Amino acid sequence: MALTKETVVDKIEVLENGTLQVRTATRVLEDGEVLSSSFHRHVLAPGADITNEDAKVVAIANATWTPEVVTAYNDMIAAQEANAGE
Amino acid sequence: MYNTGNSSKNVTTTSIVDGTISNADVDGSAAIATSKLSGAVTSITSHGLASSATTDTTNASNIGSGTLSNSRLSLDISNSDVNASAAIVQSKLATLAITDSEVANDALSGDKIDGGTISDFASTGIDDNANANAITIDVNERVVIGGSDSSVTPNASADDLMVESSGATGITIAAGTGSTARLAFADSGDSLIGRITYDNVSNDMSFGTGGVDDRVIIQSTGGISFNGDSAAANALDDYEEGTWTASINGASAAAAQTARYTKIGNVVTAYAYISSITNTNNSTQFQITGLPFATAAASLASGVTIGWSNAADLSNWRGITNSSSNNFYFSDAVTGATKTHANAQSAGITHLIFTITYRSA
Repeated sequence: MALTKETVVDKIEVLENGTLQVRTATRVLEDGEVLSSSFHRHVLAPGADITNEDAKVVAIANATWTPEVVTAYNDMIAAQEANAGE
Repeated sequence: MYNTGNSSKNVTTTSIVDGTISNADVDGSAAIATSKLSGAVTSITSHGLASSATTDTTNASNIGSGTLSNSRLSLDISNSDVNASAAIVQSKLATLAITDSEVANDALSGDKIDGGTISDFASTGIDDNANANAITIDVNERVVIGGSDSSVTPNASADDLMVESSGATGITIAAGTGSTARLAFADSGDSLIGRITYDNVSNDMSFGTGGVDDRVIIQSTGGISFNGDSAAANALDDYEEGTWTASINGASAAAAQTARYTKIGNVVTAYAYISSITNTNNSTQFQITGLPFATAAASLASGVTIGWSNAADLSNWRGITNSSSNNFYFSDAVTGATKTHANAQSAGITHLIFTITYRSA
């Protein structure tokens, strides 16, 4: 009976505007069978710092975040701020 | 022919030349008693019993120590020919085929059949050719399929039929591609009071209770709907809970935070406690970013409840989600002006607890 703990990025969602919703699963296993699992989510906007991200996240970010995508996202945020409160 | 009353005319043995009495000299009705025969009769096998002697009888003691071979028996021995007390041991019987009609009903007990085990058995019904414990019916009429490999004693309320093995175990209910497969629950008043149904056409699985179908439907595309509603748009198709990373946009930063979320269907409730906020004095819109799921369109903007802050007065601060984004901003409840980092700094916000419920994209 061996208890182990693992943390893996189990879901990466790419939104239309290029935002990455990253879900990290923390699992406690006994002889390979999952005893418990919990999730943590964090969000990466296009152009965000991905230095400490999982390799899969980095790969997807690099593939998705073209200069055009980053520019479009920043423009969208600027437009939202300009339109806020209307 | 001599007169039998004239003894002087009797023929004595000495008057007969040896070897001169032929078969024709003996009258057909003459019978020589056994007592008149001297010693053992020899060479009788060279003459045998006539095949036409249907009324002749003999006793075994008359045969002596000789052996009657099978070829010497030219007649069939019928059942009536055998004495009721006769016992023929099996070793004296040649290989015979006993037909079904020759065996009386209920005549064979189990221990008379190959030690109680029937080998080389083929059946058109249930048999155990492949697995000796494939099906077991115990003394209480309970049926176990698969033997006793699981070491499970079923609960008394559900022990009439058990399928078990030491590994993965399952049963299959197969139906035609245009039909349903169903597991029914019944009582004396309703043969279908409860049911689990799989529809091979829609590929939905439904649960019925109280004699009514589709109380709960698991739709083929995932998601659960209720009370006969099979529309995908009405299905509850997601549940998730966890923690999330709440952030503040721009140059402001939060040193510590606790944030949790629960997503039910497309509705997300996110909670966060952000502490040690360092604000920068600029006009950039003050936003909370990192919502675990993107918000829906602007028309579905949701409000934010500020639970607590160390700021002196946030009564006019109201939070509003941005459309199709993972953030929300604050505006002034009176003027409608958006709140900036400078506003946050002047308000003295360094700790913030909030809850937001919104519709995800």
